[in-house]
Amino acid sequence: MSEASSPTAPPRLEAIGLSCRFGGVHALSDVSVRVADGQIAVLLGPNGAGKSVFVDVVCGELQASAGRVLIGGRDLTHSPGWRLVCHGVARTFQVPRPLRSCTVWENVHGAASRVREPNEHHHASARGRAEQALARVGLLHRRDSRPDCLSLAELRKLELARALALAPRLLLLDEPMAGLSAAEIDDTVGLLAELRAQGIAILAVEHVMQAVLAMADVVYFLHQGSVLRSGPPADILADRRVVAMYLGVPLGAIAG
Amino acid sequence: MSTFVESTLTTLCLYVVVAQSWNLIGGLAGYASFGQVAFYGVGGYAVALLMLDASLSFWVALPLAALVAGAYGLLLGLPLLRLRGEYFAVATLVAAAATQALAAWQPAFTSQGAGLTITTVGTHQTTPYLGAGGFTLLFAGLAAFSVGVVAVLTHTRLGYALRVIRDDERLARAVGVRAGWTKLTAFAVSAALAGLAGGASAFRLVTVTPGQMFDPTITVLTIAMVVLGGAGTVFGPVIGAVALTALTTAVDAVLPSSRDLVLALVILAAVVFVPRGLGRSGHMVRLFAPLTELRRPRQRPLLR
Ligand SMILES: Nc1ncnc2c1ncn2[C@@H]1O[C@H](COP(=O)(O)OP(=O)(O)OP(=O)(O)O)[C@@H](O)[C@H]1O
Ligand SMILES: [Mg+2]
Repeated sequence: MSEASSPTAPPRLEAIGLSCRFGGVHALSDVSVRVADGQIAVLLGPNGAGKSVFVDVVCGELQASAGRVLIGGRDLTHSPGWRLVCHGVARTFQVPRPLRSCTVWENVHGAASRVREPNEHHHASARGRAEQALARVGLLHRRDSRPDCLSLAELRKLELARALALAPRLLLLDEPMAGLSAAEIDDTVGLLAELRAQGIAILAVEHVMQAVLAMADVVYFLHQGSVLRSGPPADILADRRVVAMYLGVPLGAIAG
Repeated sequence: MSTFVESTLTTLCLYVVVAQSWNLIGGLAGYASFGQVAFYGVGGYAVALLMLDASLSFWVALPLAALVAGAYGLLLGLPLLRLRGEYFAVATLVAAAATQALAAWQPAFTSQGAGLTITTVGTHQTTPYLGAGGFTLLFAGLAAFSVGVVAVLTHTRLGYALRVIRDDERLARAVGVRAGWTKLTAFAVSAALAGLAGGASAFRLVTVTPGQMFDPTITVLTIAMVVLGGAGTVFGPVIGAVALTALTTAVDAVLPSSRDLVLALVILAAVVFVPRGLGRSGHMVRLFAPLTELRRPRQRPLLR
């Protein structure tokens, strides 16, 4: 659409002051994140920082107790999860969630059939989109396999393919590279860079530093539910406070 | 064909329709309804009342009865589909019992316990009685229709939506499936199919009573057929219906008094030994999952 290319276009994702509580636990407090079209933002932070909760709140799986979620300038804070898909939001899960009773193809094609792009009018296009998504992640040769036969790397690819089949404009990826080998990480980084070049906005939760440095345009460092620092990856990783918290050691222990 | 063969075939086809109706909501969507007979009964009473009071032809009354049953499905589904698993099962069971009580309590439905009798002879008849051969054809047609409905639904986006809802409702939301509406649609279509079967049965029986039209045995037998044949598959319920109709017919001929006992044993054995159904390695209904877990070691997730 044309709004994306104009310089004054609203960011694809704008989370403003998001908070989320579980009883007494403040999983998120006042978190603001912006991701523009064609940008990769990385959410960094130690275990339990609230990264997955953030993804869940943005895609409508969890309700925010305060704050707003704007997608392409539209307020979708209280929209149910299924509706966000119609607004071009697709996600992957930290623990892959394939349909185990379906083949790889059925998993991806089923998702593709859920959305209709404005200029499409035939279910042949869902087929095409599914095929393209599988080809992109390099899983086309496994199309007739069951998820139970896939390796972890292949399951991660399936997660990604299913999200791509939804024709997203914003991708929320929860640790898409966890558990992958160095070569597989390079492949995924290459793929995400390609998607960015297409104008897709990507928010990735990621622990793999090599990947963060290679692809991130902006990094948000989350700690105990708040954004401690945000900025270009090099700056964030040079911050002694960040490194100390990330490693869970006292500040003085790190030679500066 | 002998009358015996015809009536057995008719019963078989009747069960295929009800089994496919259950398969839609219990097999495809994973919501094990224990009240399917409610829609069967509503369909039956709708046909009887439409033919008696509105003097409609059976051929008009039958599709209308399916609509009425479908609407009743919507009405019940709206609150009940918020429940899951055993809670949904029990709630549907209670809803069916309540529906039966309502029918028994309403004087217009029972004519003081004697039942409603559809006029099939004389000047007041709206449609001539079909006869044994006619009913076999009618039910065979309905059975083919119900298999067709399930086959088509399985291969549409609704079919995928139901599978995601059955296996992982969280994933369903993530791929844009509106679970509430999808379940409701499936439940209404399932109720309409059961209503179709009940409506046709009412005409076949001529006299309908609440005890007969809302007989819980119909639900139990139906569930057993689907689970035995393979829940969630297109032809599993047909296989199950053939197997159990053959069995009940055989037991009735040999040991008429032990029918329920034999059936119960076979159903138990089927759930334990053929948990995925004879028809295919189809997915098990959640409700029976604890039993199957006894035999298969639980799969450990790769992560976490
Ligand atoms: N459903 C829930 N109920 C209660 N507390 C929760 C729930 N989900 C998350 N939390 C809590 O919220 C906090 C953030 O969890 P979250 O899963 O977002 O961490 P994370 O940053 O994704 O960590 P990880 O790197 O381990 O995935 C944790 O303290 C967690 O215990
Ligand atoms: Mg997480």
